[in-house]
Amino acid sequence: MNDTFEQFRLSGKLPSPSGVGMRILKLTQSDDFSTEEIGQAIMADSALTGRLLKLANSAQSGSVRQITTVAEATTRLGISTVRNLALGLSLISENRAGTCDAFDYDRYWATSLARAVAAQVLSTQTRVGVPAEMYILGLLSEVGILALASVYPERFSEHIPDVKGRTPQEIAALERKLFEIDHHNVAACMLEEWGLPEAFQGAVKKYEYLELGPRSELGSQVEILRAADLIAELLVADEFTTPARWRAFDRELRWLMQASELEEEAFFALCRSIVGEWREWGQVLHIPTQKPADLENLEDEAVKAERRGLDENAPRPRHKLEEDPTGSAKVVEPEFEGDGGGTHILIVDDDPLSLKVLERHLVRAGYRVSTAKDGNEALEVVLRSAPQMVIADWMMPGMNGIDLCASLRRIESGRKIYFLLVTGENEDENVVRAFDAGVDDYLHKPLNPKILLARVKGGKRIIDLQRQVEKDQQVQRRHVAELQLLTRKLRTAALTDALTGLPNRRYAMRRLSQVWESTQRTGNPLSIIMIDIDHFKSVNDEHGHDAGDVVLKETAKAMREAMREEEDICRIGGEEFLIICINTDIDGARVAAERIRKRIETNLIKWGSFHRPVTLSLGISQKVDGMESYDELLKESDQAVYLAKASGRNRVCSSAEVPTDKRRTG
Amino acid sequence: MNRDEQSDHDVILDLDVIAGLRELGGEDDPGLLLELVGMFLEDAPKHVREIVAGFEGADLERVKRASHTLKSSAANMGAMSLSGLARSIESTAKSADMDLLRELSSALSEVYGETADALGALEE
Repeated sequence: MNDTFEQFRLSGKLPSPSGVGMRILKLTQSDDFSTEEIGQAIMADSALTGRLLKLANSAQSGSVRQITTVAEATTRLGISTVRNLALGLSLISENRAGTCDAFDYDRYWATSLARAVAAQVLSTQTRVGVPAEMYILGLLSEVGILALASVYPERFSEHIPDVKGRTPQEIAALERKLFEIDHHNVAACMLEEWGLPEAFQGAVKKYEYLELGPRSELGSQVEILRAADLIAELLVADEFTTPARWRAFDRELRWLMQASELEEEAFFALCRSIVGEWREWGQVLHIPTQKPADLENLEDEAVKAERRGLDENAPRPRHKLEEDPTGSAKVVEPEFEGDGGGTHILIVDDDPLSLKVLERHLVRAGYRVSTAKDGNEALEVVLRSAPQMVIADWMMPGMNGIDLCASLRRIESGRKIYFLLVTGENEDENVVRAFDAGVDDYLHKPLNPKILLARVKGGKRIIDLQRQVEKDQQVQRRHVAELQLLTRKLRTAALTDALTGLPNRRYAMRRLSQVWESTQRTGNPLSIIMIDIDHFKSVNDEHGHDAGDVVLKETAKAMREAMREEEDICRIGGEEFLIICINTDIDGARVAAERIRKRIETNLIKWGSFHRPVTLSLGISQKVDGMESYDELLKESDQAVYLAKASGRNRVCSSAEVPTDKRRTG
Repeated sequence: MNRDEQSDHDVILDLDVIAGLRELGGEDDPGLLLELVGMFLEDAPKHVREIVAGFEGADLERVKRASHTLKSSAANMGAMSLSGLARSIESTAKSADMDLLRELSSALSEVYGETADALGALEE
């Protein structure tokens, strides 16, 4: 696994699924888990169960019967799909908000959700991939961005304005500069760690670079994901979207229609079903969604945007998307004066009168209060708005106070909540049970307002202390993360040649040794190209060292541009370079060397009095049986360079051409 | 039943509690007390009916649940007699003493009536 990612992981700040998601992950990573165990783990979280069943039902097209139990979902969809769904859904509930100020978490999840739904619908339509799996792929394909924002909240905040209007390639390059890794690779590593299908990793690395065009198709997972991403972007587009972008949307959506091989009417019906599902899911997961633009008349949106005269540099305000009003749970937002200091308390009671009286007492004392009329509604509120304290009645129909507490203690966001249970006066014998379930304190009914407020104040003190501890931890973690970044930068610096920006000799030898070891095992071919700039000394002598530096830099740049992905170029000495060609035999190395030689001999370099291209002498050699170490390989290519120089320079020679008696040994 | 046993609870309406509720609304929400009274007069008869129906159907779970809710609702409004009676009903339902339960349930509508009258008088 990627080194940089490994350090990310150690930072402890990577987005991770909730307790249940984690447990399911661990279960399925062991060899001997049973379907029942998975089912039980999922059912421990009732909110997750409901969401999972909804997804199971929407993802299985064409079946008449509703899936109503987790066990059924498992049989119908397969254990790995159910596992992945549980994982993805629990990830949302744990990462709805975070520490990166400039990062719009709501918008992030709204987009991810749209991508998920679109990928699922397109997968069903085209029969490419498994719809439920495509949902997860869509949901998680940008998780690398969330990860970067979580691990480097401050640095990422600063980086957000810089990515505006840039291409995916440029953004990835910026990220690599800032974080040593780009979000595609972070996402791929996370998906790998979570044990999601291997094909997902390739897809998340590639899809953003896939350009849509008149010949786009919907024949692979990557193409489906790219199309879903377009639709997602389109659904969250708003008045901050530029006219140019609207026109591009219009064009790209038409291409997508062609790719889908659907008639216009059917295509837009498909789009509408995506919008419908997206908004419905938004409600279920409490992710704010908006009524999107009229997809059939995107040109109109462009015109509207033009009329608005958009300021391209204005930052987009956060929390733009409005949440649909859901359920009867509501949040009362007064001004916060008094003891409460805005501490957020959720009160749960099935008796509206008790609820109202309690709410008034707490609001007056300066608390922020949400209410719920039963345990299930309370769970929803906790998932959505993460209160710091819960005051719940013991006896309620459906899920009672103790069950609610036990459920909360099983989910990550519920573990830290201060839980006050309200009991009847004759229920003392049950109090022990209540503490076993994780209750922090209890109160007798009927409630005496003074005692109530005193107890709540005690709870608030604990909450505040806990928050302080967390804040300290956060600061420490941030320092550790910054230090790790610094370490990585230093390490990179130690392995980089300052003048050309290429990896240096130390890196080259380390890399060659690694590659040598792995080819020993795999038996794959390995070749190297040794390169020397012809007459470099005379450049320095006649035009000065500055000219020499420019020649080195320009030559390095031109060579790098002529490189392929499997080729690694390093500067290993004054005017000496080494290219390591993995999985390449001597013929392949010759082709690569010729490509570079030709590129350089026409690469005009101008600096001061210097005004001409330079030429290269290149020596190639291949690892053969009987070679004991990579030193021999290096020696052979050295001799080949020597031969190239001796035979007139600006040419490629192979070690095989070196006459046996000229071979220097030892 | 012997009302003397319930000396703590023979107050139909505890005016201190009412004053507390009035104060709770304060200047910001002078209508709070009447709003609460309205809620109570709407919900409490449902609980009373539940208790009676539960008793008649010998569904003690139903009796317990309704009397539990009525108990705290009534206490919130300072309706001490009603709250106390609801409490007795709840504990009797737990011990399944059907004779006592019949006696308590039959007193319920009368006590509720007096409570509703007292609360209704506040509205004027």
